[in-house]
Amino acid sequence: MLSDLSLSVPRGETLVIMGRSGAGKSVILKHMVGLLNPDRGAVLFDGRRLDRMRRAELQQARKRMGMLFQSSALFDSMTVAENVSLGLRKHTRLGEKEIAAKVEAKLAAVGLAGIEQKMPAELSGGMRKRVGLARAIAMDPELILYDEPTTGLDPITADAINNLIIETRDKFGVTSVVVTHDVNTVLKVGSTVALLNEGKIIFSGTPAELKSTDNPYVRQFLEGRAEGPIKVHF
Amino acid sequence: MLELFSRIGERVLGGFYRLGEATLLILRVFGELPHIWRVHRETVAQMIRIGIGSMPLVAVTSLFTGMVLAVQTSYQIEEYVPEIFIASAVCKATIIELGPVITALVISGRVGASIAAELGTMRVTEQIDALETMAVDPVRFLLLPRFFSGLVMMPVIVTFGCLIAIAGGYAVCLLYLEMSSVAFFQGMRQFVYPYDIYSGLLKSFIFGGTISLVGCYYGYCTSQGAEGVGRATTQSVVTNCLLILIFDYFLAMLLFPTAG
Repeated sequence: MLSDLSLSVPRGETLVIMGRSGAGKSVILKHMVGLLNPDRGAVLFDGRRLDRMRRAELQQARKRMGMLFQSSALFDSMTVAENVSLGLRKHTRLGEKEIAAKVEAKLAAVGLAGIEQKMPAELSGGMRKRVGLARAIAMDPELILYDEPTTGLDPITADAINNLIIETRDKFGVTSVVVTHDVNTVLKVGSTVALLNEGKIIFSGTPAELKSTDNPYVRQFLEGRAEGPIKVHF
Repeated sequence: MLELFSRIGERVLGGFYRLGEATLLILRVFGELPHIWRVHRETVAQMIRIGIGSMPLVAVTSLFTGMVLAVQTSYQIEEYVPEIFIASAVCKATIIELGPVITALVISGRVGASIAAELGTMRVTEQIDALETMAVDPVRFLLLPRFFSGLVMMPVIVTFGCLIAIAGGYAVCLLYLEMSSVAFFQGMRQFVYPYDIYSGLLKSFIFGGTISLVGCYYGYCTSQGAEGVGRATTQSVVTNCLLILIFDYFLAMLLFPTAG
């Protein structure tokens, strides 16, 4: 599905990968977190081969990462507090009080203070995304992976999520990888932008370069036209 | 013709693939057993759900099983055999055979299916992937508590079911067949041995493990959305029913060799 792909994210920066639905964006993220392994090639995390790690090492690496899923993927048998605190409970020796304080702080950071005891089914899509983000940052990760963070949200909530991504980066100094087809997210949060088409990166640069380029692929994507070098198959 | 062969080949290979996949997953669950104390919270929750939650349904099915057993036995032996043997037959058949098997079939519909549906939904909504990315092993966190609870709660449920079934048989003997209490308990004591109880419990232990593992396997390996969840649920019930009846035969051969 992917070939000839080379991407890197310097510490503390935000890489945005954009492309059409089904272009293989989520597949890239799943490789970055070790859910999928490449047939050929390598995935490096902090200089080490993620795809060659043993299970225990991979678990250690994953504790330093957080991931926000496209569907939020909240555990629907657990309350919001249990969702956010699961990693803390399983990987740290914090007491109940410290965990509760941490959950409260993370929920406040995403603007959802006081909903600890709600069930995911009671929340709106935007709230679920934010709880998902609170869960992703609960362990203070160094790398956060966002899979379509704004898809399916109204433009105002989407912009609030974009702001949260920027705030999270600035407040906690994390490295981020955002996968999206939302042009606003691309321009707002990215320090580097890569455009993926048919499993290959066909453009890579800063948001400013993205806006000024006359690369026909990029222009077609930004302007949202069905006609152009990127073929639409039905 | 060639197409037919290639299709048969595909099915056979697919079958072997699934068998291998299931074996690997089951071995992983067994491998996690020493870590059960790390998921004690989840395990207790599952034990309550699987064990206590199944009690009302098992009570009803067992009650009627015991009652029909008494009626049928009395009809079959008519006047030729002393009536205390009705009590023996009811108790013995319940403990070594009907109690474990009927309860297992009922539980496979209730618990096995719900495990498959729940894990299947978690798979297709990326909740299992989310656990992985949080460095929480889904085999340990989700499968192990369910397997362990099935294993230990099944003998408890079956014991409970047998008691209810015998109570049902007793009620029929007393009220419908006009047998005396003394005769009933005499018949029970005379022909029910401790070995019968142990073998019934061993059966239920094995059925409990099977039901939860089959549910876990189909749920964990679900793919293709809501349709896949439905398929996983159905397959788990069908597989469980088949396995229970097949295992029951071989266990009977092993445990009661004089019968063979």
